[in-house]
Amino acid sequence: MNASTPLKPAVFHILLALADRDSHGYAVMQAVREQSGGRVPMPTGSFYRHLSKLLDGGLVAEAARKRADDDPRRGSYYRLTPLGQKVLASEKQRLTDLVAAMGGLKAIKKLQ
Amino acid sequence: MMRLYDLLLRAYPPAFRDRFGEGMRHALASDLARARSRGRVAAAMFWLITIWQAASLGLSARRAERRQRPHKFSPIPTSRGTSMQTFFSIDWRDALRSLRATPVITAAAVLSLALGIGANTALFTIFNSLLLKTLPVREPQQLAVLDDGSWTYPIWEQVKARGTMFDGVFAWSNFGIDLAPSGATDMVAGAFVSGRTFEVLGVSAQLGRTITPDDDVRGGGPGGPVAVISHGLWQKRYAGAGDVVGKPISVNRVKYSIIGVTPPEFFGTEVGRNVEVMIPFGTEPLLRPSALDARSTWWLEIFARLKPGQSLADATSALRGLQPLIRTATLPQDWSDSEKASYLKEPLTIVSAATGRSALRSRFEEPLNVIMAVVGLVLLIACANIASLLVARAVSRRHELSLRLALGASRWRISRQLVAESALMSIAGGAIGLAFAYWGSRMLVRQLTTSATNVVFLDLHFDWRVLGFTALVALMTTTIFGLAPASGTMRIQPNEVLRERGRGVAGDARFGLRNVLVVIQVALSLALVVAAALFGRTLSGLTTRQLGFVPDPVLTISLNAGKTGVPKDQFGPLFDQVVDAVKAVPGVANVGASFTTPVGNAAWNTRLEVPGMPEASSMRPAPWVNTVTPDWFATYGMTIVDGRSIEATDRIGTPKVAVVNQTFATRYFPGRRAVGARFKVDREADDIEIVGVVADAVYRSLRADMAPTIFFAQDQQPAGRDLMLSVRAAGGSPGALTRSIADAIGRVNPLIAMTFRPLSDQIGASLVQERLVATLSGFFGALALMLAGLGLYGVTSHAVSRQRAEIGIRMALGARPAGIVAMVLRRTSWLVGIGVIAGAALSFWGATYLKTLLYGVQPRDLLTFVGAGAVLIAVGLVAAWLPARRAAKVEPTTALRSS
Repeated sequence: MNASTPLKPAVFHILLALADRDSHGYAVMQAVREQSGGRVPMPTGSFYRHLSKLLDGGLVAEAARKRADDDPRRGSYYRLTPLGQKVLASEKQRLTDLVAAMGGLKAIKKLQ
Repeated sequence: MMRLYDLLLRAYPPAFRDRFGEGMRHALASDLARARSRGRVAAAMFWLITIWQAASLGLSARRAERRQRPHKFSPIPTSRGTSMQTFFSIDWRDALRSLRATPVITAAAVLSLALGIGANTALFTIFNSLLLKTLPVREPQQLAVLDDGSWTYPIWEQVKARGTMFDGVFAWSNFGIDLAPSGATDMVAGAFVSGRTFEVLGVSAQLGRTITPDDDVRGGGPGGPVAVISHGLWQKRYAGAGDVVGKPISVNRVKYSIIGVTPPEFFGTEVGRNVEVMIPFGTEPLLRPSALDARSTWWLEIFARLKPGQSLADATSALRGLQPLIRTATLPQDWSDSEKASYLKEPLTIVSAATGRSALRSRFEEPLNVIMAVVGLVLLIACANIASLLVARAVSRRHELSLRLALGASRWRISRQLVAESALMSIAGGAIGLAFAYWGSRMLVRQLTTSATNVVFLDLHFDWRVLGFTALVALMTTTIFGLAPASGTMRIQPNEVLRERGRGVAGDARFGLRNVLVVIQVALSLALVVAAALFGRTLSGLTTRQLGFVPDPVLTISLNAGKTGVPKDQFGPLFDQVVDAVKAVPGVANVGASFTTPVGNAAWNTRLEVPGMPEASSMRPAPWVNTVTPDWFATYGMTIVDGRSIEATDRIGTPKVAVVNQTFATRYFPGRRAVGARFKVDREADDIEIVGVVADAVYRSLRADMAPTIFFAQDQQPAGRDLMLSVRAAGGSPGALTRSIADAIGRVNPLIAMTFRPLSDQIGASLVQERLVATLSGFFGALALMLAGLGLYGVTSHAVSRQRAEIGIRMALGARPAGIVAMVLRRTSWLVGIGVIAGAALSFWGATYLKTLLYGVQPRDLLTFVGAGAVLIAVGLVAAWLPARRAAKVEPTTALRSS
């Protein structure tokens, strides 16, 4: 996995959702759909392709199950690794810088 | 049950599936449930996205995996490769690239294939669910039923007492249940079940418990009358509430309590009917005059579960051993001796019930067969079309292919690529066809549902049979249309590449093949157009038939006073009050009461004794009977042609009178006046006098000829608890009156159960089969015409483009454009002509099989045949004229230069 930024929006959203809390696949998908306001539709196939790349790249790892009473049919739980947190933080910084840079431009104001 | 997405998951590599399979299945199931709750479009989008993702992401995941895997050996590709791997390895990417190079042809081919496969799969899905699927119960193969049809309760009690000869027995009787506590009825499908029904079926409650033998005692068990409801009803009416167990439910205005919910896949024992409420036989006396002890009321089915190893023949012989005991103990006492003797003799037989029972099977078997044949023909036409397109493609690729041959590719390898292209199209067509079938089958089944009480329910989930069928059809089509172009490559010579292109005029074998394909298409299309026209004329004949009454705007109301608490002898006065109350409702023009309504659910016929006529001839056909009030004829706009109508003075105590229809009058009193004549009915002592003759009208079936009909005075009959009201509205839609009429009847007695239905609805529902067949055959006939037109267009324009040089020379030598057009048309006319003749012969032979489905038109109707032929010739001419006109516009010099 090439951990260099910029990240794809879908990947960014997955990391963001996992930063919040460890959870199982479908919960992450739902969180992505919600926090993107539906702009990232995140169908199942795409999600697991991204997830497999994130796992291979060491940004995400399987987590121990949180609650004993949880339904095992939901599949594994996932968490953000320290590397994943670092990548997310740097992406966040990059986006913040971008927004700050845009704020300084007059041209953008005209556009609005 | 196999889920479609389990199958789709297989597109992903095994390692990927091991790692994420569980999570993905959960996510897909959750998304599917969500999409379904948002409606059909959302569900369709879900499937489209999921199928697409499985195809694209699954394959890319597989490729990524393969890249990571170290190569054990590196095969050197040779044109004469002998290792098994190279023998079977197909370059899919090459095939895909070459299909993309001709997007229009590919899209046309895939689309016609998807329509063909989709239509076939949709029909097969219905077939599968109606005829092949086993009931969703434990070991359905062991389930058996006492042939044939229905039995009396005393017989069931006898079988139950001897139930140990099987692994278990139970009884089942379908029964419409009204859930409304008062006012207008709210009908759902229900059933009486015996105590061990669920135990023997092997169905356990999803919530609460099922009915047990303790509940099935006369008058209800210790907990009072109880009911088990279906998963669907639980979701719809109780929003899946967890505390539904113990809640009261009104069953035909009697309070029952809910004890449990059945699992979602359980729908009862009859395919086509989804039972929502199940109650014990023991509570039947609470709901109606009991039939539990009636020895000649046949109303229930007896099922048995065979012991392990027990065959149907074993079970039958075990039962036959006990037959004398069972038959003697249940002998109807009031039957004649000969009837008793045949009752004792009639052998009991056990047949398999693994796929349940179904009334739908016999009702729709014939039309479904016809439609299946129609969609089969459409698929053949689509195949012919695609084969034709591919041959054209192969011909225009001769240069490329011969170049490859010259460079050393083997013919086998080239053929393989062509087959791979066909296979890719088949897979794409099959996948889109599956989605199309998913909607198509559901849409079809919705068309079969004619009213709230007659909801047709079929389990239309794809199972291995449907997927296997689709795969088989796709494979078959690949073979049919893939071999044609592949066989063509066998004749290509490597040195063709050296020859000049485009000058070839004559002697092309593949053209011969295309011509044959076009002729076949035209012939098959003609057959479909003929069938569509015959069915269309049948439907229009039935809808425009002279009914003898004016159906609009009449509203029918079925009344039942069984639960009003009014004593039996007071039903008459109660209904009189109801009629008066309805008459007073604003917007009501006429109100008539009767035993049944035209094209209704109930029918009554009778034996007749007419003085001077032998009994046998007066029986066939037995005349229909209805009882009517004085205003009834006016409500239906039926005119009295002789004598008088039924009048208010015809009450109990006055001499019995009848009005008969014209058919009755001419049949029983030929050559003399019927009014004033007398006859006897069904061993009754009284003579009945005919006081009037009314114009003929349809009684029950729109297909039947006008039949002799007798109308008795409603008020001269003892009043029952059921009555049909017919209300003619003063104007506008009769449905708008429903509310105020319900209120008016409710004010007379709130416990009268009533069911409203506009008469036009009822007439429409009686034509559902004809409408379905006409619509579908019309749709597919049009599709076939379009495909045939496309095929003709393709073959003509291809021929014209090959003849550019020749046409250029002709025009340079002085040929006129009109002459060129005529030349091209002549050629196409031949093809169409042969096709039409072949098609006419095919239809002439096939149409006789449609005879039973037709009305008012002969299967070999000349006008239909001529019309269909004319339509095909017109389509053929248009399809040929477009390229012909283009050819005639060619500048001779350009044509010659460009070749």
